[in-house]
Amino acid sequence: MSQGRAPVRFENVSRRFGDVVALDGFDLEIAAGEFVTLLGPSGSGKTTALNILAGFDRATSGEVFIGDRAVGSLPPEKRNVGMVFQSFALFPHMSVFDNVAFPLRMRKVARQEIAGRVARALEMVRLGGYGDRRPAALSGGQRQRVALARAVVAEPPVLLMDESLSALDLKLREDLQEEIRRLHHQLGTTVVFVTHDQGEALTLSDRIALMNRGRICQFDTPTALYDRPVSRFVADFIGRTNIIPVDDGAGHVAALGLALDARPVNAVSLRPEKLRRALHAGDLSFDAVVEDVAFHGATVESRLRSPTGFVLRMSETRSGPLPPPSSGETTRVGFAAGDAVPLFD
Amino acid sequence: MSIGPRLTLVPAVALALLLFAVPVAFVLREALFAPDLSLAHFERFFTRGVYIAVFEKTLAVSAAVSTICLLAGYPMALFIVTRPPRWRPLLLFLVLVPLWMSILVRTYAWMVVLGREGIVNNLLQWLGLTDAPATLLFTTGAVYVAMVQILLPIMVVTCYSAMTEIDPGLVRAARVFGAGPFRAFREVFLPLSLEGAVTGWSVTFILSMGFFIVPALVGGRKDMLLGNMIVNQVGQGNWGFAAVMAIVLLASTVALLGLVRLVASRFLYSPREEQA
Repeated sequence: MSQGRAPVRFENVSRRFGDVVALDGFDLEIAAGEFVTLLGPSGSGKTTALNILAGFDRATSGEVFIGDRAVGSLPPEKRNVGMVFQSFALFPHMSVFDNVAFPLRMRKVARQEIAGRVARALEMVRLGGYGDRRPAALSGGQRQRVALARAVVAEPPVLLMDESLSALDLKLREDLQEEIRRLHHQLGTTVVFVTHDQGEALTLSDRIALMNRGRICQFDTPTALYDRPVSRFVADFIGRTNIIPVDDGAGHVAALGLALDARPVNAVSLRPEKLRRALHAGDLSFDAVVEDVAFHGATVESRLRSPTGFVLRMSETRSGPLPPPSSGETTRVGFAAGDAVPLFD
Repeated sequence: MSIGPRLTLVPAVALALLLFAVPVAFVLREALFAPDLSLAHFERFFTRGVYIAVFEKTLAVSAAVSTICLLAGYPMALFIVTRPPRWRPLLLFLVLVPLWMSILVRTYAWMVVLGREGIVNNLLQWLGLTDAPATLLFTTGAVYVAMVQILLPIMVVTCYSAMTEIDPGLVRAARVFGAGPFRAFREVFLPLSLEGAVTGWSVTFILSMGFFIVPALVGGRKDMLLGNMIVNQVGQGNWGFAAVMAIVLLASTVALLGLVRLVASRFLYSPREEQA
């Protein structure tokens, strides 16, 4: 299926609801064919941004572009986007076929062509032969795939997905993440995905816009976001981390009794998997008491207390050189200075 | 289902038996014994044009009143359901206020409004639209106006509750996939709310079939409905014949609603059957 694709651009978009500022000077440029996730806690403005892009809501100020067309004042039906809704939003009074055919019918595609394109879209989500069923007769995962087929059948240049997997259980969610990645590769369409689930965002996205309080905190690739968070909020939101306060401008980490050459920042982030007992040359190290050990399948997670009383988490793979630590023992732990990421606010 | 939950039905079933099934049985006995077992009363009803005419009129008025209520009540419910949530309780409250007054009081109010010296006539003359009082009261039109006014809130509430069940996301989905506001309504909202509309029509129809106060007070002689004839026959002590008319009324209402349900279940989307 050949697919048009279009860049998407938010230009200084603000949205106020009375005194509440949902979006605050929001700027975002998404390249054609890119998979971008708007990630953030509830109230961060991600859904507002998506609603403004879809045409369900109007920006108080600023403009939205799809391709080089300003769409901010167009109604949803004139924007030519596809969308997968949080609650699937399948039309309950229509068969699966009619649901998927709906966007084509609205675009006045000829009847004979509709049949072929719907069949192909259903094949693509592995639901060939389900056309006659009613949505109520399908499982959650199947409904989600019908919603996907309906969203892409008209080959829109931009596909929007609003918390599209959060209604499903974990296993199904993982299966569908794969499915969505495959579809994105196959279609090459621009995808704007909204979620509060950081794992989902890391798995699916080319780039993630992490949002808080109506603004973007960091717009970066998943690895950069994980490895080089710029702020305490980002470090804390993406994965789990130890945020270690830096006490003075000289970058002295009194919490660990270490002199760490960090730039003048208030804190550093140290991922639990960067802490280790099998020390490398040049590691900064200190003695710590193991307070608790938890088995997590592939990893073992321990809670450590530094001599100064600071609590850290450590995550080790079970294939490591040392047997798992035991609760109550004192052990030497350390990390490479470069793994402590300075946080700028 | 175990016995436990069924026990909870006992009071309702007992009441229904005592207050409905038993009286219906009595009415049936009255109709069939005249005073010996015979179909004489039924024969009288179905062979005299005057009774059939009233029966047909009752059906026609009920169908028309329900249809007018639907045409007025559905858009009203649609208006309320599309307002911001904080306004809806107030609007719904305003719709329901008339239900707090008895039908008798409201019908007398219509007599005041529509009478020769009534508000409407005074207004028409004051505006210079008429020279003399127009005959508004004791007309078929007055019966329609009063019945619609009495039954409209019930229609609005029934339609409204069906509409609140519709996921607003469905209309948004229709819009995003290329339907304008009107098309989205026709393709998605209307079919999903039609079952509620049919229920509203059925409820108002059932209630209309039993009306007798309104036609008696604001209608003319020719506006008599089956309900009025039953009252008359009872007043003259003709229990048997009144019972026949009551049975005809009940049976025709049940039959018609059965037909409506049958047609509706064949052609309309019902959320209940989906869940089954």
